[in-house]
Amino acid sequence: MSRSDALGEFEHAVLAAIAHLDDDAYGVTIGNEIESRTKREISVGALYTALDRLERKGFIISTMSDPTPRRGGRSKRHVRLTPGGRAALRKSRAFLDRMWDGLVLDPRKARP
Amino acid sequence: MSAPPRLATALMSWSLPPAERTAVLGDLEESFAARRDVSGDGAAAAWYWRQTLRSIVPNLVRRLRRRDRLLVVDAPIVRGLSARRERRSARGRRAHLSFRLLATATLSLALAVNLVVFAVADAIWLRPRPVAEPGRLVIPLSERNGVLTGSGGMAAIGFDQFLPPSVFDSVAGQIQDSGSSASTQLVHVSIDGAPPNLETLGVTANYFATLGVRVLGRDFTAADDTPGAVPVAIVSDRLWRGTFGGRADVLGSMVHATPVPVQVVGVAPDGFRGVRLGEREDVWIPEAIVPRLAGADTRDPAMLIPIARLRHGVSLAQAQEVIARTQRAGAPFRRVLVPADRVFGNSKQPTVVVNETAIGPLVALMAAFVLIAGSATLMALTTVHLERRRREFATRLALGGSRARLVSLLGRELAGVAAAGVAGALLLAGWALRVLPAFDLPGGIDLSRLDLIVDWRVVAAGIAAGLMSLIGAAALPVARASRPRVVEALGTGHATDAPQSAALRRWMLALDVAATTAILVLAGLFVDSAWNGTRDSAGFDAMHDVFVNIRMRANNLPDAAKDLANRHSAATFTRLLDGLRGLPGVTSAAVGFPPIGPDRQRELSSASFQISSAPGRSVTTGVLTVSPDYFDALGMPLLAGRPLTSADAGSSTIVVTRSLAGALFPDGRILGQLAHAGTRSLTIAGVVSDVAFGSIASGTTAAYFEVEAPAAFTVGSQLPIVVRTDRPDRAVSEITRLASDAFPDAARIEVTTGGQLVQNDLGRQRLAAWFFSGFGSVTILLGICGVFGLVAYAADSRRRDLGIRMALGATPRGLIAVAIGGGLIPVVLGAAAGLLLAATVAPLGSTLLVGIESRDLTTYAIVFAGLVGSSALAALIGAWRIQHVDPIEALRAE
Repeated sequence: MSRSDALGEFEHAVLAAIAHLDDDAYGVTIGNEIESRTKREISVGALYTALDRLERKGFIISTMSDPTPRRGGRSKRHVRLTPGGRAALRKSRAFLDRMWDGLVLDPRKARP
Repeated sequence: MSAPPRLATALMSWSLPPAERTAVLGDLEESFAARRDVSGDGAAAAWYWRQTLRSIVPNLVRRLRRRDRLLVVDAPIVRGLSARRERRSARGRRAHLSFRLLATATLSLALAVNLVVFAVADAIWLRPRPVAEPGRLVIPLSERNGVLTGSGGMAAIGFDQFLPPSVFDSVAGQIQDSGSSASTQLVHVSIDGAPPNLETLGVTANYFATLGVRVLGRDFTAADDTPGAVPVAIVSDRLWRGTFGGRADVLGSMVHATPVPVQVVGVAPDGFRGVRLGEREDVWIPEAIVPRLAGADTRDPAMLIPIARLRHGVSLAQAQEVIARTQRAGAPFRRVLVPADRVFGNSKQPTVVVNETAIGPLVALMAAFVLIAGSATLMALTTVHLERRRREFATRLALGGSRARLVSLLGRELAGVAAAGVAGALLLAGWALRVLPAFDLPGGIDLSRLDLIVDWRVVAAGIAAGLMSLIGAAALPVARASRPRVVEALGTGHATDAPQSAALRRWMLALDVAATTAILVLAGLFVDSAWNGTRDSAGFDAMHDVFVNIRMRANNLPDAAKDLANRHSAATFTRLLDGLRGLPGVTSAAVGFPPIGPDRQRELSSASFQISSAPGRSVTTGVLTVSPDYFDALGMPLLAGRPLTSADAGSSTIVVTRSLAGALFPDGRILGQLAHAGTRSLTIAGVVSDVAFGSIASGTTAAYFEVEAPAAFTVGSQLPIVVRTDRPDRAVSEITRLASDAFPDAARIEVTTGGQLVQNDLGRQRLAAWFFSGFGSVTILLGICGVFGLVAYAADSRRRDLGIRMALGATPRGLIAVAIGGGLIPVVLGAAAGLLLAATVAPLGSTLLVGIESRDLTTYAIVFAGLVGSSALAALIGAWRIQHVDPIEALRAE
């Protein structure tokens, strides 16, 4: 995995969330998806910084949708995984799996 | 229902990169509403503030980074902000479409003209000939008095003497078929089942070997090339595939053919139809059997055009030197070696060397002018189009778009125009090349005998020229458009004219008009020439004459039988003349060749007949032997003296043209005077009006006429008749029928109307008139579009300015006048420059002009007035919209 292809933890989470959401991925749903799974509140600034970086790396593409009244007449920025994004997600997971392979941590220390 | 905290929203909005505001603020509002529904207003507001405070720093970082790269030209927000306004409005869309259509049409027209010219050059000069090492093949032509008079035919036996083996690897020969005097050497082998009129050529046995052309089957052998041999033939690939279905068993078999069955022994490779340009041979037979098949005297050897292959390392100049040494001193002509791929000729046209020194560069120059005019119009169009979108570009740049991205966007848009333009040009050129040969354009190179096709060279040239002209035309406007003064553009709106771009467009328009003027002047000169030639320069009433030439087969009869046959022919000929006189509408039928045409032209240049009245006063003159009623048939009035009668037949009494009389006896006493031609003394009995001799364009009018009784003509191999009739076109078929009934065994019967004769004679002038008129119409169209565009756009973009003027009391009529004036200044300047250009270029083609000077003031004036007038009309239409400008609306609009 080259350096530019490497995903940070948050980027990994964002890509995975987009993959889960499939056609319905945009700022709100991605944020909700990550929050519901990780129970961690994320800031919209961090999310858009990550989306920005992922788009630059070619892992996602974004399109603007029509505005809706619930959003104060503003458009959504829908994002979709590119084949490169899928591959990066898969590689990142394999990278972590290999690191975890054969590793057993002390269960007492592991528990919070 | 509460909304998100205002201050937090403002902070968030400020910190965000502009392109992200819509999406992020929308997301926040949506989440805020959801949280408010679940947890209440307070919790939702607290969440909103947390989000804002945590996002400000990352937002600002992104905003700084993005300035240079983000969401630039393709960003949806940009489309939303500016292009939507420009492009999606009905007016913007119309402007966009009309720009594309106009630009594509301009490019297509300008390119197509160049492609047609290129295709002709390709067919003549560029396409490789299907022979091995074409550079080493030469054809010796004879030159008299500095004029190439065609192929210097020689018998095969003379090859070694005149074309020595020291400089030539081998010398082949083909029957001398060029021109019309070789009827006894012409033979048409018609193969059963094949298309009629297959062109057949007699060649020496080593023809294909010398050319380096590989024959499928076997080549001719020396044994094939003997008078008594079994007739064998090598056929073209086209004939083999088309008629024989490409069957191998045809090789070696006898096929039914006229005049005799022939054995097909070989097939020439695909694409090979003869060594000279314009040859379309389908059947090659050994030259030795040609006289037998043609019914000619087999004792005479055939006259051949030698085709010689230079030895390796021997240059054309060295070979020429050796050839010069083999020639007798004082010979009437000189043999000149010409590269075989520069020689045009076939059984229907005389041999000409393709080095069109006069018209070639002129046509190429005109084609270049058209491209320049097209590029100038394209540049003006692009400038206007990009100017209209100034606000859009400014918006894109204001949002952080880089200039490179903007240029690449415009490049992509223009590439689409280029692709469409090239495709359109190829279609147009393809169509023109199909139409061009249908125009009867002889008098030089017959375009219908050249393969004018859009091959890969033409396509490559088209793409290259298309890209070049587009890059040339668009580079400056794109460079300008990609650095607009952002604040100014955003502040003033899209419809304000930038002074620099208006100046650029004026320059372009002037350039376009200059090129147009030059082309139109040349077109006018050639149209005048063709018109002059047709009207009155021929000197005879061509529009009421039909010329017939009956070519007889040579008979191999013993002398006594020959006499009998001649007497029989004489009686038949007299009956034919009577029959022709009896046709409806025919007023007279006389004997004699027409005074113009390739044969007379050749006589004039090769014989250069001299006639003199006193020592030192000698004139080169044309001479024709005619029947006494010839002058009536041609409508040439007798100006002085008496007409020639049958009693003058065979005597040395002549009638001269007015020019010849004036040249021989300037004092005006002509009648009864003696003139000397060679050893003969001729008595002048009368003077007739001037008549063009040889060619109308040559301007030669000195000629004299002798008379013979009609029956005396039948001794020769050609029977020339001139028929005067009210309706020449309708009479042709009837005349042809009578002639073929009278002489069913004639080798060929040619029937031509006087009109066709003149048209053929003026082929080059007509070709030039056609070409330049075509160029002219294209460029005038481009020019008028340019004027219209300039004035209409100026009127449109200055609406506010015009509105203010109207509000201050200016009348629409006055403003229209001002707008037209502004549009016409570049036209007048351009037209003046164009006249100067034309006056410089036109003398190049002066040798082709008939009855008009290359600096004819009337033509220049008409072109100037026509161009300025039509431009004024276009400007008026363009400016008309000023009438509809409403001062109030114009003032309120921006």
